[in-house]
Amino acid sequence: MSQADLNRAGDAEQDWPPIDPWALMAIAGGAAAIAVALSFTAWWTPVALLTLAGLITAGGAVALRPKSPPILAAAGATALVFFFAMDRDWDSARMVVRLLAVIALVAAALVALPGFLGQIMAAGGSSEKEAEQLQERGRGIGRFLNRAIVSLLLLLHFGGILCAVLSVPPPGRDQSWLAQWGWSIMQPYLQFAYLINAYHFYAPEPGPPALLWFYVEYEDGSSRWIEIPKVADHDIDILGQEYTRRLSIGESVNQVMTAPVTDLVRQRRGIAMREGIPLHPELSEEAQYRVPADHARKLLCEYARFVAQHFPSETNPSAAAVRVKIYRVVHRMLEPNEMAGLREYPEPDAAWTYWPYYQGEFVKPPPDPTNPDPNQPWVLKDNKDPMLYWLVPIYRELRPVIDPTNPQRNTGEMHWETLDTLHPHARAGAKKGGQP
Amino acid sequence: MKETSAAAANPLVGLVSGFIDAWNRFWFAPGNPATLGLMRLCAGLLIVYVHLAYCYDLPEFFGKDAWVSTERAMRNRADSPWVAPSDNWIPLYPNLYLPDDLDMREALFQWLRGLPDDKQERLRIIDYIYGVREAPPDAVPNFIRALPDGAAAGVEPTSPEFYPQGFTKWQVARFIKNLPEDKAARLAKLDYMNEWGFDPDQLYRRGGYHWSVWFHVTDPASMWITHAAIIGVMLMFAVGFCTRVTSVLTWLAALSYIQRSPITLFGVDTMMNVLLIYLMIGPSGAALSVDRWLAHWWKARRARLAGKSAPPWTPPESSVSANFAVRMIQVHFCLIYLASGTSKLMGGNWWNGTAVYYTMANYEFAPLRKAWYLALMHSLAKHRLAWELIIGAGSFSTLALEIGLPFLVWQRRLRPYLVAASLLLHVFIALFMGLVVFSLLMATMVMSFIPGAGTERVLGWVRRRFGIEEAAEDSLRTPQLTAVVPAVEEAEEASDAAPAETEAVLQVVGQPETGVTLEKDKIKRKKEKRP
Repeated sequence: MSQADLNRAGDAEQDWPPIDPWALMAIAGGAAAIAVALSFTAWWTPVALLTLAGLITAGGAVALRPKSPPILAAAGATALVFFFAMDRDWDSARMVVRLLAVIALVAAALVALPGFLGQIMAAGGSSEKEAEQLQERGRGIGRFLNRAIVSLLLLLHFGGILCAVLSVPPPGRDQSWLAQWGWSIMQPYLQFAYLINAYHFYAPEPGPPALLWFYVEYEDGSSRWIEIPKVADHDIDILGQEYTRRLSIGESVNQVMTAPVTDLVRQRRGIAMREGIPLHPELSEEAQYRVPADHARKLLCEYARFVAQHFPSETNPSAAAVRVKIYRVVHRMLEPNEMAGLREYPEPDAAWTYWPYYQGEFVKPPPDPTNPDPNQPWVLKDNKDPMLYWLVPIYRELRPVIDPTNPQRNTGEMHWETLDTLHPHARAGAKKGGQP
Repeated sequence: MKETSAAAANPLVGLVSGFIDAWNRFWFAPGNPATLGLMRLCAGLLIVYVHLAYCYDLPEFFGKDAWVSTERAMRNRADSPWVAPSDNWIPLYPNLYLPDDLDMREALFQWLRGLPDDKQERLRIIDYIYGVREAPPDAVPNFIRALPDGAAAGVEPTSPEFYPQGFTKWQVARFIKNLPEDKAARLAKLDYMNEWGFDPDQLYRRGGYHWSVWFHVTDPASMWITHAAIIGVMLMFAVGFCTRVTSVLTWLAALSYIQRSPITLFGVDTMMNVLLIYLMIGPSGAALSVDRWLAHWWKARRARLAGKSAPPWTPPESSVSANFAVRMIQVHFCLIYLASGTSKLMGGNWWNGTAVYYTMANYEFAPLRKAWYLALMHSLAKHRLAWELIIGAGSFSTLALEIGLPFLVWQRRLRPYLVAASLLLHVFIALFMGLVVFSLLMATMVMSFIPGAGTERVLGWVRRRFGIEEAAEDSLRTPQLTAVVPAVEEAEEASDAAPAETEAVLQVVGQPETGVTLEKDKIKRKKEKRP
């Protein structure tokens, strides 16, 4: 519309840009014809480039004459030709081209409607004057219908967005049945246009962030820790865009199921306790066992593969990773009384503010002759691991201060001591311990 | 007059026609695109930044071996399950409950995969499950034998109170009975269930409607070329060059990044996408754009060639599509605020007024790494009363603004205060929650409440102040424009109260008719009523 607006504002002699839209359509049509011919040779790269160029050219023609039904129809038809010419493997791109074709054809019909109705009604006029009046009336009806259709689409658009908002179940309740249905029906549109957000920002409560820590061991016995995200990795990105994106990676596996702590799970945890990993003293048993949702478990396998591929050993970059331990780390926020620091100055990044939940040890899958893809997700080594999905506690305890001159005696004062079971847990089973 | 008398005679007709008039005025009145142009410029530059930042992580987020590999992403796109709600009062029970216990689940699928191919033999397994026949060793796992019976074998209860729920022998037996005959189909069904947790026969839809160039372009060199081309297009959109085409390309390109890597998305992507959709619908290149500058340059050139003086710089022409797009942004913005505000009401910390603290004490977002900020938070927390007053005020005013704005912003007198409050909220979000780009995008969205004429006036001042576009300055002194600009401004400002008058004014100053029926007699009547 902007171009049309500009055109109307311009001189009548020759508007900007001085291009004939039909010339552009002819170029687009030519590109479509070549693309069809090339599609028979399966030479897909030129077909893709021609499709892009042809669609842009046709789009340019539409931008020049957005209210011209023939131009819109021709653009729609050209897009359809490209749709048939494109490689079937480019299915998501074909979907877009088909969508553009449908939009152009529907727009052509809508734009043509007033004139069409005007002509039909004018045919019923007995005199020229009456025919003109009837034609104008027909155009008026057409414009009204256009507006009604646009209004209907508008209602569907915002109705769909409302369904997305309401499709999140409130705590302890099911979501609206109507919203569920609306969501099911509108989902293709909302999903394609990415209008699926429920806009529940910091609701119902602002929660702690989730991070991902990886402990990678390499074939030469070296190991390293990888923290996602890490501020130092993003110092050029002054607005913190990519840092926040990496925080989202942690958030993507922060969906947990309400899995009960069964006797078997408790029994296994007992083994770990005997090996020196106690329960966190400040949290309930249920809060320390968090099974990731199905989707999150699949992602963890992908993340293990990615980390193994992209983070080489710091001491021997040629050494391949052999196992990856993943921890989903909840970084709890200091409570207001802790922030007040009545006993000590607050340390919001103290080790004990991190709650690492063990997500398992991942290893490379055995070679599959039917699928030689090197990007196969890694697999969970042992789903009976005693610590699987349990919090590996880092906590602090008040302990007496030992007299440095006499280790048998304490000074009578107390101090906080941080007890870290994470690092021993990560190193357990490793050939050689890695330093965090 | 006929309509008026019909409305007077039948109040319902009056109500309906009044509603239609109001609807038309709200959505289909012409509007000045200057604000839309300004929004395009701001959003466009932010979008360029967002995508430039991807240079850090392009192969890591979108490559073949990205955090989520292309193969996995394609499978998610092709296979993700969509389940529709039940259309009656009986909830949609899964055909087979999958145990939460992972060991049990693995054992279940291993056993189901190994079921005999012969149907009769499979049916015999059902007898083993119920203990009707003595089962050979390992024919049925122990945990299945230990399941509760559920309904009697072969019974299909229809009443919800008798409908068996949970993982029972009855359910397992029915599932086995209904398994496909063909082995490949049976295994495919079980694989799908094991991967996605749903029986494919119960799905409403399978797969998603995602588009991304990164599903198809995966080799590093091509990816970098494509990425560079996309940033070029986005830059063209930001400056308003070939805006109609580049706006569509920019939106499709932005969707490409969004749909390929959903694990890295956050609020920025949501807001960027919303803005792009509406800036694509409206004539966002009609103001503050290279397109407009080129059009003016072309006219001036042609005039010079014809031996005439250069034409004056006219303000961008009002159009229905400009108003339509601005209205869509406004309504969407209100929906966002309302959803955000009302969803907060479910949280205890928002009710006790402490929620804002937990946004400010979030180490990963807030600037807690800075000593001055930590000292500030520490000092504030040490003084309980001050802490309660400030944090409480922050929490409750956030709620009040998010819930109140969608209703009050339509009042002309309150609008500037609400827009200012919203901008202030987003400044706080940027400073204390670290979401700078998100806040800037929200600030861009809230600009939609600034009237186009107001934006035009500010832009005019900027042009004069910095000596840009002498032609524009000169033209503003011409009798033609001095008459037009105030008339359009007056018309826009009056649009909430008396839109029909707006149209009349626009007609007077030579705007094209937009399809909205002029009700001259109504205007006349209103004028007569005025003192």
